[in-house]
Amino acid sequence: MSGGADLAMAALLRKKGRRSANYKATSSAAHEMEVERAPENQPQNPFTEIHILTNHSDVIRTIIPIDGHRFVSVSDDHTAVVWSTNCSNPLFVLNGHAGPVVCAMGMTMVQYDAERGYALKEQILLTGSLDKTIRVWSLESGECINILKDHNTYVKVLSVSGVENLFCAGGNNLHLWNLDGELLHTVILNGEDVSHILDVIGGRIVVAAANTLEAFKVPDTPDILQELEKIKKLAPNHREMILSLEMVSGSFFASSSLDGTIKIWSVATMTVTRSLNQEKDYLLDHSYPYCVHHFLSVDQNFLFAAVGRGIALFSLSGDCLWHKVNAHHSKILFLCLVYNGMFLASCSEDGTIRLWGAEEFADQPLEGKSLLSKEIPESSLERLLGRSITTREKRRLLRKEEKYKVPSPVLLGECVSHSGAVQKLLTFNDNTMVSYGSDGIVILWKDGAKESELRNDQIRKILHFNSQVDQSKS
Amino acid sequence: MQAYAEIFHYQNTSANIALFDAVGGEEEAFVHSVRPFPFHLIPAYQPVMPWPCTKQKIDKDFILVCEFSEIIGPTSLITIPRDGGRNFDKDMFAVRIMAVDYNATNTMRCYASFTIVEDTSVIIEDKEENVYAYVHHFTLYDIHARGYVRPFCMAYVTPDKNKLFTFLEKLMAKFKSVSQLFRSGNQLLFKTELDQRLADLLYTKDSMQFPVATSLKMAKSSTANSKDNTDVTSGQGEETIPCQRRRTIVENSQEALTKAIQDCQGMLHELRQKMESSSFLSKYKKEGGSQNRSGCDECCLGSLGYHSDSETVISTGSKTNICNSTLSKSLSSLCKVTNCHCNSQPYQPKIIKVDACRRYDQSLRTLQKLSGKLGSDALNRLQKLFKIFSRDAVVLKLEHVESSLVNPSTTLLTIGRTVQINFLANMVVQSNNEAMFRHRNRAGRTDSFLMETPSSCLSITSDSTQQSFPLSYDAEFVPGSTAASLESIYYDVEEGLDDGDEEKTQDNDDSWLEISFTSRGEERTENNDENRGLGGSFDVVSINSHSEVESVDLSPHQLMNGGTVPFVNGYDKVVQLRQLSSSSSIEPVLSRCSKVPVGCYASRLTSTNTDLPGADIRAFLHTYPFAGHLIYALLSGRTTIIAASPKREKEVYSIIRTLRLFVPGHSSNQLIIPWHTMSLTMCDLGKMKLVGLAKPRSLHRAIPASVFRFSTVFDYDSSKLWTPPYRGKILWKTISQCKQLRQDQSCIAAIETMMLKYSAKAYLFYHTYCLNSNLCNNQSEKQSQLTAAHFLAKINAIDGDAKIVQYWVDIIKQQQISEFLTQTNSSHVTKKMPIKLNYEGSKLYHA
Repeated sequence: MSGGADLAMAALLRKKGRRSANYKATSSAAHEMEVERAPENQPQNPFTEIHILTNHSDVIRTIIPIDGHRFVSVSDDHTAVVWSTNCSNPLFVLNGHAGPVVCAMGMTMVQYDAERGYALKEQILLTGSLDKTIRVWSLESGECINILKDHNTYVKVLSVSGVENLFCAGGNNLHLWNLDGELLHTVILNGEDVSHILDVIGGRIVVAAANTLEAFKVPDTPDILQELEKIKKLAPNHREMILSLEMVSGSFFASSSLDGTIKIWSVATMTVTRSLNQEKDYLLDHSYPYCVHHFLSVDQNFLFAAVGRGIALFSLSGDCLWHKVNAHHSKILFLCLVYNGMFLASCSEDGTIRLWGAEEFADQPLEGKSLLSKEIPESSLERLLGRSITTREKRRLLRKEEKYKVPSPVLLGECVSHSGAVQKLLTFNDNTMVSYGSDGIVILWKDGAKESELRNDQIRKILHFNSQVDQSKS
Repeated sequence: MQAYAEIFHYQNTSANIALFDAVGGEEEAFVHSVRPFPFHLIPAYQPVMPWPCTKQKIDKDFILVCEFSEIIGPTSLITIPRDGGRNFDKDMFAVRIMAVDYNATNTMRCYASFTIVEDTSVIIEDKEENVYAYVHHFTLYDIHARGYVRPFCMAYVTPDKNKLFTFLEKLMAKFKSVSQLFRSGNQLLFKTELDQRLADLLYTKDSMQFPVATSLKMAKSSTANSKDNTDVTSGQGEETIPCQRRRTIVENSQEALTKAIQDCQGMLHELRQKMESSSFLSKYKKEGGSQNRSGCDECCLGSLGYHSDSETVISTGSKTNICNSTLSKSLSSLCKVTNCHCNSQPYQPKIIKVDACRRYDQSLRTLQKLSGKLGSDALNRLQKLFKIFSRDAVVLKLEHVESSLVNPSTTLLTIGRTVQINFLANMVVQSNNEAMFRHRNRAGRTDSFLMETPSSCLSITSDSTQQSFPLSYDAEFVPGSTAASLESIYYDVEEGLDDGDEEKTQDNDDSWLEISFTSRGEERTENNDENRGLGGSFDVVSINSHSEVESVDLSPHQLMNGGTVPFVNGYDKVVQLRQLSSSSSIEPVLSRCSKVPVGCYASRLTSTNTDLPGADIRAFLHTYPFAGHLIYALLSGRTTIIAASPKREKEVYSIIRTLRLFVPGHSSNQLIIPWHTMSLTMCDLGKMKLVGLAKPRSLHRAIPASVFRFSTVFDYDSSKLWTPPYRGKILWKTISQCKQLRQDQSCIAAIETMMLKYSAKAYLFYHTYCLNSNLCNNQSEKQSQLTAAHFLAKINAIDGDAKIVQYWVDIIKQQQISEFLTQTNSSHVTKKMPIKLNYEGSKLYHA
């Protein structure tokens, strides 16, 4: 996005935000509002083909992407399964843990070959379990390479550390490991379990436990004592449990909480710069209507946040630019940009994934929706809204014309297939999305029309192959 | 297409229906329409017109089995069907057809030596009577008959000359297989009898030379054998039996005895040679006693309990080193075949009169008894043969044409398990991918192309004479998960019918049902199969039907009676392991086929079975005005759920039976679930296409919201239907046409015409769009804009029709891909058909 457009966009959204005052101002009244229904026939919804992946016999804890086409699902049935987006059979079923597997992380192990002078890189997978072990798996063979036991406590979260071959594991305590399987350091945390670990720039990590955040420094040179150095406790605390912790731009990260607050922290100073969505009466009979399970940063300047059942778009400066109070029937658990950024997908406890996108295409069938004819907007938000801001619009914005309407995402489709809450959604390069639900299944969502074309190609190849065989025979 | 139109026309005119007979309107027509009687209700007695104005002619085919009786000359024995050729002088005809072969048998008789005669066949034409017959002569052997021969013949009599000549080859092959059964059974029996005769003769000779010793021996053995009456009879036996015996012995001259023994041995020798050369019998022997390497003759002899007084035994040419246990074992196996002696007790030789001429005081055995158990098998086969060939020539021809569509099975499209079209039949795609095709030589095996079918699966026995048979339409074994076989008679295999199926097949004694569905035993390991195959002990086919023909039909009765066959829930899972005859050097080849029976529409139309797909279709169309939407859902691959309260299971069954006519594809045996009692899940949508669902209380409890959204739900109790509306033309047109017809058969013919319309579009779409790489590769051209929808619109398939066509092509594509992946053993790619989500909103329809 060029600087001018950026400015214009910000101005435009600010104006919109001003008009709708604040998210909280209207939210209480909006409780009675009906949930919008998906458009009839959903011509915009490209996900017309699904594969149901069933290999787990118990609750799935999470799914983690590994690379461009692979992901791993971990489950209470003591297994982790590596899947590919073009196959409904597992690539590897990783057996070995004696307890529920709760977290996983893909990493690249770098081994320097001193003699030959280059680095060997191997893709590995780490899985943490309640059986007090961490297992290291090869992603080439699916074999268990190493079992880490020294920490002697359960592991709930794994994270890269920002330093090569070092990783952090959190549970009861916080551990620093290297990939050779050495436990380098343990930080005893007096209190709650670690729920999130965020690798922030500059060899630092931020650890969330219950409603507190704490920053540590990761040793980045092998010479010094390899210990996690405590930097500071981040203040002020959230009022309730922290639900999400993510980077939003190069210099800011954000944490969201059950009480609905999203705090934007400066990476440099580790202090709060903005506090969004502060709600006084957040409890409301312990239903936490404003809880922010997940948020999604867009273009380094904006945040899509799942606020209770609704979606809100905030600018990092603190304005609520757009909001949809009743986006779902139940709380939204995850937000993701899918299908090459053309849709914002929201996963909800009501078992649906809703797709939000540009209004101007809402009536057209998907086939007509081709951004190829236009310039592809650089900005994610512009792509989502399906348009870039023209100079004319800029002018109108500067003139602060009241009649001018800000483009906003509209409901374009609803993906229903899970029979329980949809917990998380991954998106892959080939426009496939992968979701898992509390019903214990993983679903691959694919673009039916595109898949059909791919199958045509495949059949042409098969026939070609066969006719060659035929010829060689004769 | 043309032929179906012909049938359609025939159906209409023969039933005296005017297509546009608008009298009374639809409703009334429905009420007054008289459905044809089911087959079993048609009165058996149909009075013959007593004053025929023209010369009596036969109008229907029948099979006549005749014998040249040694007492009364040529006579007819069996007519199939029982009332076949009622107005026809069968005995006169028998004289005619037996006379043709009489010379052959006569010359045989003139020879002094005993020879085994091959079958002869001939075609007889009687223009006056307007009768054409294929006559198959064969000779059986009977120890009691004059010259030991019993000449028989079977004749297929028809007024349709064209039919006879068109299907002559098949007819010949079929009759040959029947005669083979007769003769094989007969040879086994005759040999047993000859062995016994020989034993008798030797014993007689023995007792002439050493009268006392034998009588004593005899007495001993009799006491040993019958323990109950030892005390009572033994005392008298010593006095009375020798008296009788001496009298007989005196009557026998030494010379006659020696000559009789020689004759008998000569015949045995001839017979043994014949039987050894027969692959069927040698195969049988191997099964019977795996340890027994010697012939059956020895075992019979040895187990006779006849003492090996070296001379006599050597004179029979058999060895003495015989283990008794194996012998009795093989004898018992022989008895099983011949079905004459069910006890494995050794034969007691007795003293006989050698030169006793036949006195014609007792009638000879019947044809069936002459061949033992195989005789009744042969007659059953004859019945079946009649059922196949007695149908109209048009039907036979259509079946013949469509049987070539079965290969390659991966591109075969079936709707309701009936063959529609094969996308790649008889063609080869040029390697330059320009979607050009050339027709393949018909003689060439198409299976070398595309998803190779190993020839082992087609050839079942390696008998060279049998392999030269034309590929018959009644069992083509094609491997693969999506394989199909076209059967000449309409199959009615209810998938997933876990109860009641057994009864049904039992009831249908006219054997219209034929299951030859073998499932790919994926759960079995390769090794396991191989072992079994090499052992040669597991051969379902030969155990059950003892035949040598190129394809062996396994009827459900046989399967169930066979006992050796693993029958899962009364339906069709048979692991079929076949073995090439050991006479050839080829290693045993196994065929593990997943065979799905598919039928031909022509057979469906002419079948009298009331339990076939599409039964009561007329009533259904009239009762439910929304039938079109429902059928659209089925044709376009949307899972259709028929929900009803548990007590209405039977009604749901019959609706499923009607609707299965519209279920495309034959890949999965879970396509149709007649009665499902659990809540449905999204996973079920992938495989099930037509489901009968028990609905406990509320509909939504049995069907989750997500499933409800992507399926068509028909609540049978309240006659409500939730489904996306059908927007298209073709289906509506056919339905309104069907509503004016008065017979199910006519409706089905009309529907078939519609299916072919769709098939033709699908064919075009597949070849010109899906296989055309030019459309996709030249992105720069405007052609890239041409999407599937645009293309379909061009071939006049829009909205609903386009979806149907696309789904049908998708089925073919999926079949091809999954077969390819199976062959290349790529396990890491999706083989399962994805679940299609059609976001089109459902509408509610009331009846």
